Amino acid sequence: MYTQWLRQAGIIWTGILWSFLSYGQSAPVGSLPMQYVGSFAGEAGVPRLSSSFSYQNHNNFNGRQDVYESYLSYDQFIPAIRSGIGITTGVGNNLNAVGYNNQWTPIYFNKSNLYYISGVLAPKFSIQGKYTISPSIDYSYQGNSALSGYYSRQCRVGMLFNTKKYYIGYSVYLLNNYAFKDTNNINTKVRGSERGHLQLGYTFQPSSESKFSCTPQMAILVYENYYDQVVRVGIPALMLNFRYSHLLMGINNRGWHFGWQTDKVRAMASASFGNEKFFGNLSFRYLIKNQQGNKSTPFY
Amino acid sequence: MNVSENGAEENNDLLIFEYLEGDLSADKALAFERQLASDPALQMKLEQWKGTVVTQDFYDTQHLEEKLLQYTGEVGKRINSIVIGVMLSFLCSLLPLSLEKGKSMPIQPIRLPSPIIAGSLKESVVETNKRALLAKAFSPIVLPAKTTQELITPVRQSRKMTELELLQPRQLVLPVISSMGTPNELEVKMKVVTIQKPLAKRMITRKQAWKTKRMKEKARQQREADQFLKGHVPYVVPLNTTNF
Repeated sequence: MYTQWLRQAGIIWTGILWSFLSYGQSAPVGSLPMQYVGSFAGEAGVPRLSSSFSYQNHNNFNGRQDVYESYLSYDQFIPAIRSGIGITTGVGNNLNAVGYNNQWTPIYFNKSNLYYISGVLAPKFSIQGKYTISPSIDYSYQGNSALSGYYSRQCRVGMLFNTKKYYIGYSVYLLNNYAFKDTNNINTKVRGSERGHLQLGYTFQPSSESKFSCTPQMAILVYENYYDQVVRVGIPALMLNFRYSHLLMGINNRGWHFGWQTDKVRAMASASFGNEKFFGNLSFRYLIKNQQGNKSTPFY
Repeated sequence: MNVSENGAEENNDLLIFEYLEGDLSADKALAFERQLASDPALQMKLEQWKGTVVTQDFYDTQHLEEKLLQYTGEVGKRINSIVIGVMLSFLCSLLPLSLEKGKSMPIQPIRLPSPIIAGSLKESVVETNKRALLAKAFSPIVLPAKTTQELITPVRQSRKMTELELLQPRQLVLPVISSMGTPNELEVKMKVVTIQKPLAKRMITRKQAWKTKRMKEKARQQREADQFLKGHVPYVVPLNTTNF
């Protein structure tokens, strides 16, 4: 009965993921823990180091050049303040549309370099040792080395509820501004379209000792459309992961993925191919678990 | 059965499981035993749970019984053959006497030494020699001294037994009869032999296995929650890092 249910869930998720594959623009869910909801800072209970490297080759489609993004994040739980803290840094390229066709489709792009930094504070509250509720606040700054006067500032508050098997997190943007100099060299501020993120995940595992598990995760973006000013919902990231022992395999918004995961280390590679583009992502995560860390988090 | 009854039943199951596992604190165990004394349904459930407990180290009783039965059979055969042998030898020993009786030979009276008559020295010397020969021929058979216990104890029970070694789990005592001899000389040595047969697995249904697994999982979660209440746990329940 359980296996049949798993199979059905897998088929449904695979169908959904295939329909969204071509829209993948971000790292797979979980490769950067604080990407969508900052409350994941310190969620592991021990120091955690995560990195993600993404590469896109558009095969010069509509003048698009190849770009990369590289991120590194670190977070840990501090028992003294009962909170998790985290920091994320990143560098990469950005394509700015500078020319459009008659249907307002961008056909000319300028490639520029971006840098990104963010910090998170996330207090933790446990309910009877079974659940964790974690509010959070984070602030991020993004600059562009090629565009003078360009920057982006974002401030979010979030909430995460999780057990060992599932989580649900939500974040809302309190501040989401882009500033740049327009064609007349006048400083201009524009409000970003993002309004919030909802992130969900659940792991199906017959028992805690089972070698096999199936873990679907997804992030939902709530945004305001520029043209019609209507709030809409998009799915920036999805992942369906199957694990047998330490071997990972599945599908995500970056394509197919495979990897190796233990309770300390996860290394994962994702890729998708098409006529007009190639997306690839490498992610790595390491949990710094020592004897002291295990004592402070005996749930392990 | 409504939801609350379901929940109560699951709580009872969890309580029984922890009680059997020895995870309950002293207070909780005492309270549970009190409840158990007044609740026949709970007692029945406890018995059911006891039936599902599987321990890894247990005696392979079936195999042991088989071996013991085999041992009894072998020794019985040996004893039977010994008894038959003894009886035959006894009958054989009676055979010459009966033959002699059949011949109806006259019994020769034993000549007692005649008194030595003074003056007949030569004759007395001959008589002395005769007496010496007769004394030698009719000298009593010297048997080893037996204790009272040996005299009282029947022959077949006077085996010499070596001391048994301390039995370990999954070890079986098998007899080794060292030699075939007279019952007096029969010596049975006991030898400890380790059985190489794998452990017999208890046959449980898939549903029972699933239920047991589920209860163990719940018990584990409860233990973690108890740890938290004792203050041994900080303020975060991490996601399972092997899956997320």
